[in-house]
Amino acid sequence: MERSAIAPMPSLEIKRYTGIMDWLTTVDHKKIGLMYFWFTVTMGIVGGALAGLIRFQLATPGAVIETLQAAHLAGGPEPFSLFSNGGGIFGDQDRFNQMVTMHASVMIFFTIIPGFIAFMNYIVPLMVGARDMAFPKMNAFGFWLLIPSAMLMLSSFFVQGGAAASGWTAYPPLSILGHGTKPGQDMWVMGVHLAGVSSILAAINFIVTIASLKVMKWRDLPLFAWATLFVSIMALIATPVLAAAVTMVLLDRNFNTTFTIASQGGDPILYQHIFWFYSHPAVYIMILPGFGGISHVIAAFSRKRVFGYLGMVLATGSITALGFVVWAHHMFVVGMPTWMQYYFQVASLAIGVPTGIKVFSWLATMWGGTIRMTVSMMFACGFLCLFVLGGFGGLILALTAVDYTLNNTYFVVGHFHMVLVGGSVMLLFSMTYFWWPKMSGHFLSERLGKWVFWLMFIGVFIAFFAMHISGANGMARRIAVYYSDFRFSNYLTTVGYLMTFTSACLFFGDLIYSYRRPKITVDDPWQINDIQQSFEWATSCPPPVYNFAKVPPIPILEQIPSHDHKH
Amino acid sequence: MPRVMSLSLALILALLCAHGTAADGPSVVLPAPPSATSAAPESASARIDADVKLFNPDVYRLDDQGSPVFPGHSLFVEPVTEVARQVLSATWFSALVFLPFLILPQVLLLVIIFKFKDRGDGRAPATFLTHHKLEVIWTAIPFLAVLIVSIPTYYVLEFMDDPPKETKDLQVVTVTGKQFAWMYEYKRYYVDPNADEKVCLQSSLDPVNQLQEPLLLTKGRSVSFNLTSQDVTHAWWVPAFGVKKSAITGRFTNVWFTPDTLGVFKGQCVELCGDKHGNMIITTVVVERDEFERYMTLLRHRDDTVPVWNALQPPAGKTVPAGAVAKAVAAFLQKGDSPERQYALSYWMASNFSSIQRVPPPKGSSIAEVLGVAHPADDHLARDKQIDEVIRAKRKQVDELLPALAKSLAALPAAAATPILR
Repeated sequence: MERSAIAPMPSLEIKRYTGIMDWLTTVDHKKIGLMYFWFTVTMGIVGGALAGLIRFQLATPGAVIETLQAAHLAGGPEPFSLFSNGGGIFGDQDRFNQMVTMHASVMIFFTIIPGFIAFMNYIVPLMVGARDMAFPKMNAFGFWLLIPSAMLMLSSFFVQGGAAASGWTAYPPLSILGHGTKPGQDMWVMGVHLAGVSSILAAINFIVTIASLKVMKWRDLPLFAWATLFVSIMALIATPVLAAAVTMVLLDRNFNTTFTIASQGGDPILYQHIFWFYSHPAVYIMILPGFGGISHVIAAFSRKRVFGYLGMVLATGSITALGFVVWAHHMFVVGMPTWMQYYFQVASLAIGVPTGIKVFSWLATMWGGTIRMTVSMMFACGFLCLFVLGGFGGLILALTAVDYTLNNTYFVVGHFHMVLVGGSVMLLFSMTYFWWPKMSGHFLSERLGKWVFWLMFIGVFIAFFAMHISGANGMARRIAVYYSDFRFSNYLTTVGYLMTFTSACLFFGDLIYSYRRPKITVDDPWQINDIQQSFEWATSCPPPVYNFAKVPPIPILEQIPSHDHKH
Repeated sequence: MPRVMSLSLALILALLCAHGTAADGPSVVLPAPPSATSAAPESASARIDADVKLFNPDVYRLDDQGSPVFPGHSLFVEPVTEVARQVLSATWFSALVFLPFLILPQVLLLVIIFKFKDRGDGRAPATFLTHHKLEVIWTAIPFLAVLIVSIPTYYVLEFMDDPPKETKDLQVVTVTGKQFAWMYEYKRYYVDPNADEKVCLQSSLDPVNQLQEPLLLTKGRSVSFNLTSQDVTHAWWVPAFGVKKSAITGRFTNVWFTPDTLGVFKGQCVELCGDKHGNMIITTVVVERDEFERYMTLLRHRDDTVPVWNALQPPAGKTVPAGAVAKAVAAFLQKGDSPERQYALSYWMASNFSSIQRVPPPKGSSIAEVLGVAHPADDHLARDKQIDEVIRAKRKQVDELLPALAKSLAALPAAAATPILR
C-alpha cells in the first residue's frame, strides 16, 4: 500500500536563488499559488476600481459629467470629462463602454478564475498528498503567461482609440469595427488568448496531478480535489472553443476573413454560439472550485464530516455535464426555433436540481454540528444566503418567455453579480480566511474580519438586489446615462458598491498586515484535521518545499469524529 | 412655444380659403383669390396642435434635475399587450413555484446558525453522514418543480412564437437597426399606391434634428415585426409590450404582439452597439385606427415638404430668401393641392418647429448646425442667443409668407402654375 511507502527526500543539490530571483524562477506549486493569489488580489482591486468609475458615471441619471457640462455652458470652466466626448443628446459613451468591457475582463480572466487557481495550486497537491504538481515548470509557465495577458489588456487603455469597447462578449460585427485604427480590441483578443493558454495548461496539470499523484483512492478524494478535477475537465474542453471564437474576431479584423460578416456569407450568430459554448461552462469554472472549498470550510467549522459525499460528487459532475448543453440561454432573443429555446429552458432549469442538492447537503452538514462562527464560516453562510438569492433570479431568467423581457437588462447584471460576488467572491474570501494560515503561516484578524464580512455581505446585497429592481423596472444594461425613474435603485447600487469596495480594501490591508502577526507553530491551527479528508493539515504552516517528508497516513477517514477530538 | 408655432402655421389651411393680400416677397404674379369658404382657423390650428402632440410626443422630456424621463411602463408595472400579460402571469406562477426553494434554505440557515452554534457546553456534534430518503426527496421535489413550471411556460412560448392563424388585418413593420437609429417601414402603406414599383412608407430619424422618430401602432391591431440590421447587432425592446428581439445583419427575426392600450411606450436598444448605444431609444405611440391612417397620410407627403423646410435654412449669416420659400411652397402645391397635402405641409412645418425647439442638446451643436449659426466656440451664451433670434425670425417669416402664398397658389389652375414659377 502507498500509505506505508517512504518517499526519498528531494535532492538539495540544485542551485537555489534567493529573494526576488527565487520568486521569478520558482516551480514550487506553493510559491506559484501565492503568486497567483497576490496577482488575483491586485487585479481584484484594479477591477473594483474600474467598477468604481462605472458607478461614478451611474451615480446619477444624467451623470456628474452632464451637470459639469451644463455648468460649462453657463460660463464655467471646461469640465474634467471622463466618459463623455460630447455630442448627441445623452453624450458619447465610448469611454464608458471601455470601462465596462475591462471591468468584466479583469474580473473574469484575472480575478475570479485565477483566484480559484491560486487555491487549487496551493492546496490540491497538499490535499492529495503530492510533493508538487505533476508538471511544475508548466505550472510556472501558466502563471507567467497571465502577466503579459493582463499587461496587454490593461495597457490597451493607452493606445489609439482606447481599450476594447464591445463588451467582454465582444459580439461581432461590433468588435470587428475599427479594425486597423483601434488596436484595443486586438490587444484584448491576444490577452484572452494568453489567459486561455494559461487556463488550459493549468487544467491539464490539475487533471494529471489528481489522477496520478493522489495517494488515496478515488472514493476518498477530498471534495475540493473533485471540484478541481471537474473544473479542469471543463476548462480543457471549453477554453479552446473560446480561443476559436476570439480568433474569428481577430482574423475578421486583420486578415479579411468573413466568418461573422453577413454581407459576405458569414454569420454573427455563429460567433455567439461558439462564444457561449465556452462562456457558459466558464460561469461554472468560476464557482465550482468554491463549491468544493466551502464543503471543507463548513465541515471543519461544524465539526462534522461533509454530508452526502457521493451526492456532492455526483452533483458536481452533473453540473459539469449540464453546463455544456445550456449555452444558448444567453441568447434567447436572437431568434431560435421555439423547440430549441424550450429545450435550453428546461436544461437550464435542470441545473437547479444538482445545485439544490449541494445547498441542502451543506445545510445538512451543518445540522447537528457544533458550529464555530469564524470569519471563514461567516463568509460560507453569507455565500449560502446570497447564492440562493442569486440562483432564484437565475431560475426566473431561465424561463424563455420571461427572458424576452429581462434579457440584457440590469436584472441580468444583478443576477450574475449576485452569484459571482455574492457567490464566487464570498467563497474566495471564505477559502482565504480558512487556508491563509496554512498558506502564509499567519492568521488573518478575526476581529477585522467581522467588519470585512458584514460590510461586504450588506454591501453586496444592497448593490445587487437594487440592480434587480432597476432591471425589472426596465433599465437596459451597458448604458452610460439612464432615465431618472431608476435614480433611487442606482443610488442604492452605488452605496452598496462603496461598502463592498471598502471591505475589499480593509481585507487587502489585513492580508499585508498578517505577515507581522506571530508565526503559527502547529500543523493544524483550526484543530480540524480529524474531520477533514485531506492531507494539507498534516504538514507545517506553511509547508516545507517538499510538502511531506513521507507520505502521510490517511487522516482518520474511517473514524467517526467523537467528542474527544473537540478542541 | 410649439403651440404658438403650430397655431400660426395652421393658418395656412385656414387662409387657403379666406381673404388675404398678395405677398410682396416672391416675384411671381399671383391671380386673384377665390371667394371665401368656411374653415375656422381655431379648429384647424387646434387639430394640428393636437396631432403634433400625438404623433410627435415630447419623448426627450427632462425632469426637474435635468435627467431624461422614461414615459413607458415596465412589463412588471403595467403590461399593455396580451403577450406581456401572459409573460407576467408566467413569471408570477414560476416565482411562486420556486419560492420555497428561496425561502427554505434561508430559514434553515438561520435556524441552524442559532440552534447549533457552539456554546462551549461540550455538546458532541452529530455523526450522520448520509440520509438516503432525504437526498431522494431534495432531488425529486426540485425536479418536479422544474416540470411543473415548464408546462405553462411552453404554451406562453408557443403563443409568443407566431400570431394566431385567425388574426386578420395584421400590420407588418420592417424594423431595421443601424448605428444609432431605428428605421420603421410600414408594409402595405405605399408612398404612391398607383406606382408600378411600390415603395413603403418609412420613418427613421427626424430630418430636422436627427432624433429618433416614434413608431405608430394601432390599438387592438396585431403587429408583426421583421427585424434586421444594417451594421452591428441591435435589439428592439419596449418593456410594456413584453417583447424583445435582436436585429441581426443578414437575417430577419420576427416578433408579434397586439397593443391594447393607448399611449406612449418607450424602450431602447438593448444590445451594445457602439459609442452611442444609450442614445438609441425607441418610442412607440399606440393610437386609434383613424389616427394611424392620418399619420400614414402625413408620412406619405413628408418628403415633398422637405424642400420647403430646407428653403427656410439659409447659409450661415444670411436671412431667409422669401422667394425661395415661396417657390418651394408653390412647387409642393403644384404636385397636388388636395386638402390632405395642404394639411401635411402645415403639419410638418409645425412638427419640425416643435422638434427643433425641444430640449436642446447639451452643447447646442445640432440646433446650431441646422440653423447654420456660426459657432463662437468660446461663447456658448452668445451662440444660444443667436439661435433664439434665428428661430424667431424664421417663425415670423413663415407666419407672414406661407398663408398668402398657399392661398394664392391653391386658386391657380395646375397647368398655369409652371410658367409663372419659371
